[in-house]
Amino acid sequence: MPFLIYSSDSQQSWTAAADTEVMAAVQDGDEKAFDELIRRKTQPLLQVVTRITRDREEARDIVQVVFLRVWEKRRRFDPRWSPNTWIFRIAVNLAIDQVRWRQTREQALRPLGTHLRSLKNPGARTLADLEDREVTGILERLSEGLTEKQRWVFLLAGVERLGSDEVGQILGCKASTVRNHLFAARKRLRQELTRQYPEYAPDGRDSNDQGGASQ
Amino acid sequence: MSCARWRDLLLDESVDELAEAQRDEFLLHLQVCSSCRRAAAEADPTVVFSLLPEERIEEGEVEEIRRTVQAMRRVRALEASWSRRGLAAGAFAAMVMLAIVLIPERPLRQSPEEVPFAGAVGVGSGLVSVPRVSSGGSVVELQVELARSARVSDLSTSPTLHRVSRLEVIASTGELVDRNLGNGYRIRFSLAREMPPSGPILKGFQLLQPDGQGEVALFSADLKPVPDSPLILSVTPAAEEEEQLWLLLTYSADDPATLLSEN
Repeated sequence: MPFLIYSSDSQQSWTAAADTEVMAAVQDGDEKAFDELIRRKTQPLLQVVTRITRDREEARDIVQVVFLRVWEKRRRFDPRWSPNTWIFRIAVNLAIDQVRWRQTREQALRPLGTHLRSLKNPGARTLADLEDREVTGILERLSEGLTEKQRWVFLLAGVERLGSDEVGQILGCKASTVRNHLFAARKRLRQELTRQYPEYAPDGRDSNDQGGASQ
Repeated sequence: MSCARWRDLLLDESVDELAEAQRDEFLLHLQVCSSCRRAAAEADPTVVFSLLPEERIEEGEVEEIRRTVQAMRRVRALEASWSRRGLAAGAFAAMVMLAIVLIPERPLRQSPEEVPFAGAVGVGSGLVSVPRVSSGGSVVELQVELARSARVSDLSTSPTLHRVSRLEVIASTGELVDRNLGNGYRIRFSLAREMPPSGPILKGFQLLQPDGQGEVALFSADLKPVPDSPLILSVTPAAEEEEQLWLLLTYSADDPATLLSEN
Protein backbone atom coordinates (compact mmCIF):
# COMPACT_ATOMS: atom_id res chain seq x y z
CA MET A 1 0.00 0.00 0.00
CA PRO A 2 1.78 3.08 -1.16
CA PHE A 3 0.64 5.35 1.60
CA LEU A 4 2.38 8.67 2.00
CA ILE A 5 4.99 7.87 -0.56
CA TYR A 6 6.32 11.16 -1.73
CA SER A 7 7.39 11.62 -5.29
CA SER A 8 9.50 14.65 -6.00
CA ASP A 9 8.85 14.35 -9.73
CA SER A 10 5.12 14.68 -9.47
CA GLN A 11 5.57 17.61 -7.13
CA GLN A 12 7.36 19.65 -9.72
CA SER A 13 4.21 20.38 -11.65
CA TRP A 14 2.86 22.44 -8.77
CA THR A 15 5.90 24.38 -7.67
CA ALA A 16 5.41 27.10 -10.27
CA ALA A 17 1.65 27.28 -9.97
CA ALA A 18 -0.16 30.20 -8.36
CA ASP A 19 -1.85 29.74 -5.00
CA THR A 20 -5.25 29.89 -6.64
CA GLU A 21 -4.34 27.10 -9.04
CA VAL A 22 -2.95 24.94 -6.26
CA MET A 23 -6.04 25.55 -4.16
CA ALA A 24 -8.32 24.69 -7.08
CA ALA A 25 -6.52 21.38 -7.45
CA VAL A 26 -6.77 20.76 -3.71
CA GLN A 27 -10.49 21.29 -4.01
CA ASP A 28 -10.53 18.56 -6.61
CA GLY A 29 -8.77 16.27 -4.16
CA ASP A 30 -5.28 16.44 -5.66
CA GLU A 31 -2.94 15.18 -2.94
CA LYS A 32 0.19 16.47 -4.65
CA ALA A 33 -1.28 19.94 -4.79
CA PHE A 34 -2.07 19.61 -1.10
CA ASP A 35 1.55 18.69 -0.47
CA GLU A 36 2.61 21.84 -2.27
CA LEU A 37 0.17 23.92 -0.27
CA ILE A 38 1.66 22.58 2.95
CA ARG A 39 5.16 23.38 1.76
CA ARG A 40 4.23 26.93 0.88
CA LYS A 41 2.20 27.83 3.92
CA THR A 42 3.89 26.03 6.80
CA GLN A 43 6.48 28.74 7.38
CA PRO A 44 4.13 31.76 7.41
CA LEU A 45 1.49 29.89 9.39
CA LEU A 46 3.98 28.72 11.97
CA GLN A 47 5.23 32.26 12.24
CA VAL A 48 1.83 33.82 12.89
CA VAL A 49 0.53 31.06 15.16
CA THR A 50 3.72 31.14 17.22
CA ARG A 51 3.34 34.87 17.69
CA ILE A 52 -0.23 34.39 18.89
CA THR A 53 0.29 31.39 21.15
CA ARG A 54 3.84 32.30 22.22
CA ASP A 55 4.61 28.62 22.12
CA ARG A 56 6.38 27.03 19.18
CA GLU A 57 5.41 23.44 19.97
CA GLU A 58 1.80 24.38 20.45
CA ALA A 59 1.93 26.33 17.21
CA ARG A 60 3.21 23.29 15.39
CA ASP A 61 0.29 21.20 16.61
CA ILE A 62 -2.12 23.90 15.56
CA VAL A 63 -0.59 24.26 12.10
CA GLN A 64 -1.06 20.54 11.54
CA VAL A 65 -4.69 20.86 12.49
CA VAL A 66 -5.03 23.86 10.18
CA PHE A 67 -3.95 21.82 7.18
CA LEU A 68 -6.24 18.99 8.17
CA ARG A 69 -9.13 21.46 8.34
CA VAL A 70 -8.16 22.92 4.98
CA TRP A 71 -8.37 19.48 3.44
CA GLU A 72 -11.61 18.55 5.14
CA LYS A 73 -13.31 21.86 4.34
CA ARG A 74 -11.78 22.34 0.92
CA ARG A 75 -15.12 22.07 -0.85
CA ARG A 76 -16.40 25.05 1.13
CA PHE A 77 -13.66 27.26 -0.25
CA ASP A 78 -14.98 29.87 -2.65
CA PRO A 79 -12.57 30.42 -5.58
CA ARG A 80 -13.26 34.14 -5.34
CA TRP A 81 -11.53 34.20 -1.99
CA SER A 82 -7.80 34.52 -1.46
CA PRO A 83 -6.45 31.09 -0.47
CA ASN A 84 -3.92 32.78 1.77
CA THR A 85 -6.53 34.74 3.65
CA TRP A 86 -8.82 31.73 4.00
CA ILE A 87 -6.06 29.53 5.41
CA PHE A 88 -4.81 32.27 7.71
CA ARG A 89 -8.30 32.81 8.99
CA ILE A 90 -8.56 29.16 9.98
CA ALA A 91 -5.15 29.32 11.62
CA VAL A 92 -5.74 32.53 13.53
CA ASN A 93 -9.11 31.35 14.78
CA LEU A 94 -7.63 28.08 16.01
CA ALA A 95 -4.74 29.88 17.65
CA ILE A 96 -7.01 32.40 19.33
CA ASP A 97 -9.28 29.58 20.53
CA GLN A 98 -6.26 27.93 22.05
CA VAL A 99 -5.14 31.10 23.81
CA ARG A 100 -8.65 31.79 25.12
CA TRP A 101 -8.83 28.25 26.33
CA ARG A 102 -5.69 28.79 28.30
CA GLN A 103 -6.98 32.08 29.62
CA THR A 104 -10.03 30.41 31.08
CA ARG A 105 -7.60 28.44 33.15
CA GLU A 106 -5.86 31.64 34.16
CA GLN A 107 -2.69 30.29 32.71
CA ALA A 108 -2.39 32.38 29.61
CA LEU A 109 -0.71 35.17 31.45
CA ARG A 110 1.93 32.95 32.87
CA PRO A 111 5.05 34.76 33.93
CA LEU A 112 6.51 35.97 30.70
CA GLY A 113 9.98 36.16 31.92
CA THR A 114 11.21 37.90 34.92
CA HIS A 115 14.39 37.71 32.89
CA LEU A 116 13.20 40.74 30.98
CA ARG A 117 14.77 42.98 33.54
CA SER A 118 18.13 41.36 33.03
CA LEU A 119 18.53 42.42 29.45
CA LYS A 120 21.81 41.79 27.77
CA ASN A 121 22.22 45.38 26.76
CA PRO A 122 21.13 47.46 29.71
CA GLY A 123 22.90 50.44 28.25
CA ALA A 124 21.03 50.33 24.96
CA ARG A 125 19.51 53.68 24.08
CA THR A 126 16.60 52.49 22.00
CA LEU A 127 14.68 49.28 21.39
CA ALA A 128 16.48 49.09 18.07
CA ASP A 129 19.72 48.45 19.93
CA LEU A 130 18.38 45.35 21.67
CA GLU A 131 18.60 41.80 20.45
CA ASP A 132 15.56 40.34 18.72
CA ARG A 133 14.94 37.94 21.58
CA GLU A 134 14.83 40.83 24.01
CA VAL A 135 12.52 42.85 21.78
CA THR A 136 10.22 39.83 21.52
CA GLY A 137 10.14 39.51 25.30
CA ILE A 138 9.29 43.17 25.73
CA LEU A 139 6.55 42.95 23.12
CA GLU A 140 5.01 39.96 24.87
CA ARG A 141 5.01 41.77 28.16
CA LEU A 142 3.61 45.00 26.78
CA SER A 143 0.95 43.12 24.81
CA GLU A 144 -0.66 42.07 28.06
CA GLY A 145 -1.88 45.65 28.37
CA LEU A 146 -3.79 45.45 25.09
CA THR A 147 -7.33 44.34 24.59
CA GLU A 148 -7.72 41.01 22.85
CA LYS A 149 -8.68 42.60 19.53
CA GLN A 150 -5.86 45.12 19.71
CA ARG A 151 -3.40 42.34 20.41
CA TRP A 152 -4.40 40.20 17.43
CA VAL A 153 -4.54 43.20 15.12
CA PHE A 154 -1.15 44.40 16.23
CA LEU A 155 0.41 40.95 15.83
CA LEU A 156 -0.99 40.51 12.35
CA ALA A 157 -0.69 44.06 11.03
CA GLY A 158 2.00 45.61 13.17
CA VAL A 159 4.37 42.68 13.55
CA GLU A 160 3.56 40.34 10.66
CA ARG A 161 2.89 43.36 8.46
CA LEU A 162 -0.21 42.01 6.79
CA GLY A 163 -2.37 44.62 5.08
CA SER A 164 -5.42 46.08 6.82
CA ASP A 165 -7.77 44.51 4.28
CA GLU A 166 -6.31 41.05 4.76
CA VAL A 167 -6.28 41.34 8.54
CA GLY A 168 -9.88 42.49 8.39
CA GLN A 169 -10.85 39.43 6.38
CA ILE A 170 -8.94 37.13 8.72
CA LEU A 171 -10.48 38.58 11.87
CA GLY A 172 -13.87 39.26 10.35
CA CYS A 173 -13.96 43.04 10.63
CA LYS A 174 -13.58 46.09 8.40
CA ALA A 175 -10.20 47.38 7.31
CA SER A 176 -11.01 50.72 8.94
CA THR A 177 -11.65 48.89 12.20
CA VAL A 178 -8.29 47.20 11.86
CA ARG A 179 -6.60 50.57 11.41
CA ASN A 180 -8.37 51.95 14.46
CA HIS A 181 -7.32 48.99 16.56
CA LEU A 182 -3.78 49.29 15.25
CA PHE A 183 -3.62 52.97 16.14
CA ALA A 184 -5.01 52.30 19.61
CA ALA A 185 -2.62 49.38 20.09
CA ARG A 186 0.45 51.43 19.20
CA LYS A 187 -0.68 54.19 21.52
CA ARG A 188 -1.23 51.73 24.34
CA LEU A 189 2.10 50.03 23.72
CA ARG A 190 3.89 53.35 23.92
CA GLN A 191 2.14 54.10 27.19
CA GLU A 192 3.06 50.70 28.58
CA LEU A 193 6.61 51.17 27.39
CA THR A 194 6.81 54.46 29.25
CA ARG A 195 5.45 52.81 32.35
CA GLN A 196 7.43 49.57 32.29
CA TYR A 197 10.54 50.45 30.33
CA PRO A 198 10.96 54.21 30.58
CA GLU A 199 14.55 53.90 29.42
CA TYR A 200 13.29 53.01 25.92
CA ALA A 201 10.36 55.40 25.74
CA PRO A 202 10.77 58.54 23.66
CA ASP A 203 10.71 61.61 25.84
CA GLY A 204 7.48 63.50 25.72
CA ARG A 205 5.91 61.36 23.05
CA ASP A 206 3.51 59.44 25.22
CA SER A 207 2.55 62.32 27.40
CA ASN A 208 1.21 63.92 24.23
CA ASP A 209 -0.65 60.76 23.33
CA GLN A 210 -2.26 60.58 26.70
CA GLY A 211 -3.39 64.12 26.30
CA GLY A 212 -5.84 63.09 23.61
CA ALA A 213 -3.83 63.06 20.41
CA SER A 214 -5.77 61.72 17.48
CA GLN A 215 -5.03 60.73 13.94
CA MET B 1 14.74 57.11 -1.28
CA SER B 2 17.43 58.70 0.83
CA CYS B 3 17.76 58.38 4.59
CA ALA B 4 16.92 62.06 5.03
CA ARG B 5 13.73 61.65 3.02
CA TRP B 6 12.68 58.67 5.08
CA ARG B 7 13.18 60.59 8.29
CA ASP B 8 11.19 63.55 7.00
CA LEU B 9 8.43 61.14 6.07
CA LEU B 10 8.45 59.61 9.52
CA LEU B 11 8.04 63.03 11.09
CA ASP B 12 4.93 63.66 9.02
CA GLU B 13 3.22 60.30 9.28
CA SER B 14 3.28 57.20 11.44
CA VAL B 15 4.34 53.97 9.82
CA ASP B 16 0.76 52.75 9.69
CA GLU B 17 -0.35 55.78 7.74
CA LEU B 18 2.06 55.09 4.94
CA ALA B 19 0.74 53.36 1.85
CA GLU B 20 1.32 49.63 2.08
CA ALA B 21 4.01 49.51 -0.58
CA GLN B 22 5.74 52.51 0.92
CA ARG B 23 5.51 51.03 4.39
CA ASP B 24 7.12 47.78 3.24
CA GLU B 25 9.86 49.74 1.50
CA PHE B 26 10.38 51.82 4.61
CA LEU B 27 10.62 48.79 6.92
CA LEU B 28 12.97 47.10 4.48
CA HIS B 29 15.17 50.16 4.65
CA LEU B 30 15.13 50.08 8.44
CA GLN B 31 16.38 46.52 8.38
CA VAL B 32 19.54 47.52 6.58
CA CYS B 33 20.10 51.06 7.88
CA SER B 34 21.02 51.15 11.55
CA SER B 35 20.96 54.94 11.86
CA CYS B 36 17.44 55.20 10.42
CA ARG B 37 16.37 52.26 12.57
CA ARG B 38 17.60 54.07 15.66
CA ALA B 39 15.93 57.30 14.59
CA ALA B 40 12.66 55.47 13.97
CA ALA B 41 12.86 53.75 17.34
CA GLU B 42 13.37 57.08 19.03
CA ALA B 43 10.38 58.58 17.25
CA ASP B 44 8.13 55.54 17.77
CA PRO B 45 9.59 52.48 19.55
CA THR B 46 6.71 50.28 18.39
CA VAL B 47 8.19 50.37 14.89
CA VAL B 48 10.89 48.02 16.15
CA PHE B 49 8.27 45.33 16.69
CA SER B 50 7.66 45.35 12.94
CA LEU B 51 11.31 44.49 12.36
CA LEU B 52 11.36 41.23 14.24
CA PRO B 53 12.79 38.44 12.12
CA GLU B 54 10.78 35.53 10.85
CA GLU B 55 10.67 32.30 12.81
CA ARG B 56 13.44 30.00 11.69
CA ILE B 57 12.13 26.75 10.40
CA GLU B 58 14.14 23.86 9.04
CA GLU B 59 13.24 22.18 5.79
CA GLY B 60 12.99 18.90 7.67
CA GLU B 61 10.37 20.38 9.94
CA VAL B 62 8.16 21.31 7.01
CA GLU B 63 8.51 17.80 5.67
CA GLU B 64 7.67 16.32 9.04
CA ILE B 65 4.56 18.45 9.30
CA ARG B 66 3.59 17.45 5.77
CA ARG B 67 3.92 13.76 6.56
CA THR B 68 2.00 14.10 9.78
CA VAL B 69 -0.81 16.03 8.14
CA GLN B 70 -1.08 13.51 5.33
CA ALA B 71 -1.11 10.71 7.87
CA MET B 72 -3.83 12.42 9.85
CA ARG B 73 -5.78 12.81 6.66
CA ARG B 74 -5.39 9.11 5.88
CA VAL B 75 -6.52 8.13 9.33
CA ARG B 76 -9.55 10.38 9.04
CA ALA B 77 -10.38 8.79 5.71
CA LEU B 78 -10.14 5.36 7.25
CA GLU B 79 -12.35 6.46 10.11
CA ALA B 80 -14.89 7.83 7.68
CA SER B 81 -14.79 4.57 5.79
CA TRP B 82 -15.53 2.71 8.96
CA SER B 83 -18.26 5.11 9.89
CA ARG B 84 -19.97 4.40 6.64
CA ARG B 85 -19.83 0.74 7.46
CA GLY B 86 -21.35 1.37 10.83
CA LEU B 87 -18.36 0.13 12.69
CA ALA B 88 -16.70 3.31 13.70
CA ALA B 89 -17.92 3.82 17.19
CA GLY B 90 -15.90 1.24 19.02
CA ALA B 91 -14.02 -0.73 16.46
CA PHE B 92 -11.52 1.52 14.82
CA ALA B 93 -11.28 4.20 17.40
CA ALA B 94 -9.26 3.65 20.48
CA MET B 95 -9.56 5.41 23.72
CA VAL B 96 -6.92 6.88 25.92
CA MET B 97 -7.87 8.15 29.27
CA LEU B 98 -5.10 9.93 31.03
CA ALA B 99 -5.20 11.02 34.56
CA ILE B 100 -2.46 12.82 36.38
CA VAL B 101 -2.62 12.59 40.09
CA LEU B 102 -0.53 14.62 42.39
CA ILE B 103 0.75 12.21 44.97
CA PRO B 104 4.18 13.33 46.03
CA GLU B 105 4.84 10.66 48.57
CA ARG B 106 3.48 7.47 47.17
CA PRO B 107 6.15 5.50 45.37
CA LEU B 108 3.99 3.06 43.45
CA ARG B 109 7.04 1.13 42.39
CA GLN B 110 7.26 -0.36 45.85
CA SER B 111 3.73 -1.67 45.88
CA PRO B 112 2.37 -2.21 42.39
CA GLU B 113 -0.28 -4.57 43.70
CA GLU B 114 -2.00 -1.58 45.24
CA VAL B 115 -2.71 -0.03 41.90
CA PRO B 116 -6.45 -0.17 41.46
CA PHE B 117 -6.25 -0.51 37.73
CA ALA B 118 -6.18 -3.63 35.67
CA GLY B 119 -2.98 -4.19 33.80
CA ALA B 120 -0.93 -1.80 35.82
CA VAL B 121 2.76 -2.32 35.43
CA GLY B 122 5.92 -1.12 36.96
CA VAL B 123 6.11 2.53 37.62
CA GLY B 124 8.92 4.94 37.71
CA SER B 125 10.22 8.05 36.14
CA GLY B 126 12.45 5.98 33.93
CA LEU B 127 11.77 3.07 31.66
CA VAL B 128 8.47 1.29 32.05
CA SER B 129 7.32 -1.82 30.28
CA VAL B 130 3.82 -1.85 28.98
CA PRO B 131 2.07 -5.03 27.95
CA ARG B 132 1.13 -5.47 24.36
CA VAL B 133 -2.34 -4.29 23.61
CA SER B 134 -4.49 -6.33 21.33
CA SER B 135 -7.93 -5.07 22.07
CA GLY B 136 -10.10 -4.11 24.95
CA GLY B 137 -7.74 -1.70 26.57
CA SER B 138 -5.16 -1.60 29.22
CA VAL B 139 -4.06 0.68 31.95
CA VAL B 140 -0.63 1.73 32.97
CA GLU B 141 0.41 4.02 35.68
CA LEU B 142 3.49 6.10 35.39
CA GLN B 143 5.15 8.38 37.78
CA VAL B 144 6.26 11.49 35.99
CA GLU B 145 8.57 13.92 37.58
CA LEU B 146 8.40 17.55 36.70
CA ALA B 147 9.93 18.42 33.36
CA ARG B 148 10.84 14.83 32.65
CA SER B 149 9.42 12.30 30.31
CA ALA B 150 8.09 8.92 31.19
CA ARG B 151 9.29 6.38 28.73
CA VAL B 152 7.02 3.57 27.75
CA SER B 153 8.75 0.72 26.07
CA ASP B 154 7.54 -2.36 24.25
CA LEU B 155 4.31 -0.76 23.32
CA SER B 156 3.95 -2.94 20.28
CA THR B 157 0.71 -1.55 19.07
CA SER B 158 1.93 0.43 16.13
CA PRO B 159 0.30 1.28 13.90
CA THR B 160 -2.30 2.50 16.26
CA LEU B 161 -4.71 5.29 16.57
CA HIS B 162 -5.34 6.36 20.09
CA ARG B 163 -8.27 8.56 20.74
CA VAL B 164 -8.03 10.70 23.79
CA SER B 165 -11.48 11.14 25.14
CA ARG B 166 -10.73 12.72 28.43
CA LEU B 167 -7.99 13.83 30.70
CA GLU B 168 -8.61 13.70 34.36
CA VAL B 169 -6.38 15.55 36.71
CA ILE B 170 -6.94 14.45 40.23
CA ALA B 171 -5.30 15.91 43.28
CA SER B 172 -3.79 13.68 45.91
CA THR B 173 -6.91 14.17 47.98
CA GLY B 174 -8.91 12.49 45.27
CA GLU B 175 -10.55 15.71 44.24
CA LEU B 176 -11.07 16.19 40.52
CA VAL B 177 -9.02 19.14 39.41
CA ASP B 178 -9.64 19.14 35.73
CA ARG B 179 -11.18 17.04 33.07
CA ASN B 180 -10.05 18.38 29.78
CA LEU B 181 -7.21 17.36 27.64
CA GLY B 182 -4.85 20.17 26.99
CA ASN B 183 -5.93 22.50 29.73
CA GLY B 184 -2.41 23.35 30.55
CA TYR B 185 -1.24 19.78 30.28
CA ARG B 186 0.55 18.73 27.20
CA ILE B 187 0.66 15.09 26.36
CA ARG B 188 2.95 14.17 23.58
CA PHE B 189 3.75 10.82 22.10
CA SER B 190 6.86 10.24 20.12
CA LEU B 191 9.05 7.38 19.10
CA ALA B 192 12.00 6.63 21.29
CA ARG B 193 14.30 5.25 18.67
CA GLU B 194 15.74 6.34 15.40
CA MET B 195 13.70 5.91 12.31
CA PRO B 196 14.56 2.65 10.59
CA PRO B 197 16.16 2.87 7.16
CA SER B 198 13.35 0.85 5.66
CA GLY B 199 10.96 3.72 5.80
CA PRO B 200 9.83 6.68 7.81
CA ILE B 201 7.86 6.33 10.96
CA LEU B 202 5.59 9.12 11.86
CA LYS B 203 5.86 10.69 15.21
CA GLY B 204 2.84 10.86 17.36
CA PHE B 205 0.73 13.92 17.20
CA GLN B 206 -1.92 15.48 19.23
CA LEU B 207 -5.09 17.13 18.12
CA LEU B 208 -6.63 19.46 20.58
CA GLN B 209 -10.16 20.66 20.29
CA PRO B 210 -11.78 23.41 22.30
CA ASP B 211 -14.08 20.90 23.94
CA GLY B 212 -11.13 19.01 25.29
CA GLN B 213 -11.21 16.13 22.85
CA GLY B 214 -8.05 15.04 21.23
CA GLU B 215 -6.32 12.33 19.32
CA VAL B 216 -2.93 10.80 19.50
CA ALA B 217 -1.74 8.68 16.66
CA LEU B 218 1.30 6.60 16.03
CA PHE B 219 1.81 4.53 12.98
CA SER B 220 4.21 3.82 10.23
CA ALA B 221 4.15 5.65 6.96
CA ASP B 222 2.78 2.65 5.14
CA LEU B 223 0.45 1.74 7.99
CA LYS B 224 2.31 -1.48 8.63
CA PRO B 225 3.08 -2.75 12.08
CA VAL B 226 6.33 -1.67 13.62
CA PRO B 227 7.13 -4.33 16.20
CA ASP B 228 8.59 -3.35 19.50
CA SER B 229 8.64 0.33 18.80
CA PRO B 230 9.34 2.13 21.99
CA LEU B 231 7.11 5.03 22.65
CA ILE B 232 7.85 8.08 24.69
CA LEU B 233 5.02 9.71 26.47
CA SER B 234 5.87 13.07 27.89
CA VAL B 235 3.64 15.16 30.04
CA THR B 236 4.25 18.77 30.80
CA PRO B 237 2.41 19.73 33.94
CA ALA B 238 0.59 23.01 34.11
CA ALA B 239 1.59 24.19 37.49
CA GLU B 240 5.25 24.73 38.02
CA GLU B 241 4.98 24.06 41.71
CA GLU B 242 3.96 20.47 41.10
CA GLU B 243 6.99 18.44 41.92
CA GLN B 244 5.72 15.01 41.16
CA LEU B 245 2.86 13.64 39.21
CA TRP B 246 1.12 10.38 38.79
CA LEU B 247 0.11 9.67 35.30
CA LEU B 248 -2.69 7.21 34.76
CA LEU B 249 -2.95 6.04 31.23
CA THR B 250 -5.84 4.01 30.01
CA TYR B 251 -5.97 3.08 26.42
CA SER B 252 -7.24 0.61 23.97
CA ALA B 253 -6.14 0.21 20.46
CA ASP B 254 -6.94 -1.44 17.22
CA ASP B 255 -4.76 -1.88 14.26
CA PRO B 256 -5.68 0.22 11.24
CA ALA B 257 -3.68 -2.13 9.04
CA THR B 258 -6.02 -4.93 9.96
CA LEU B 259 -8.98 -2.77 9.18
CA LEU B 260 -7.40 -1.75 5.94
CA SER B 261 -6.86 -5.32 4.83
CA GLU B 262 -10.49 -6.06 5.57
CA ASN B 263 -11.43 -3.23 3.28
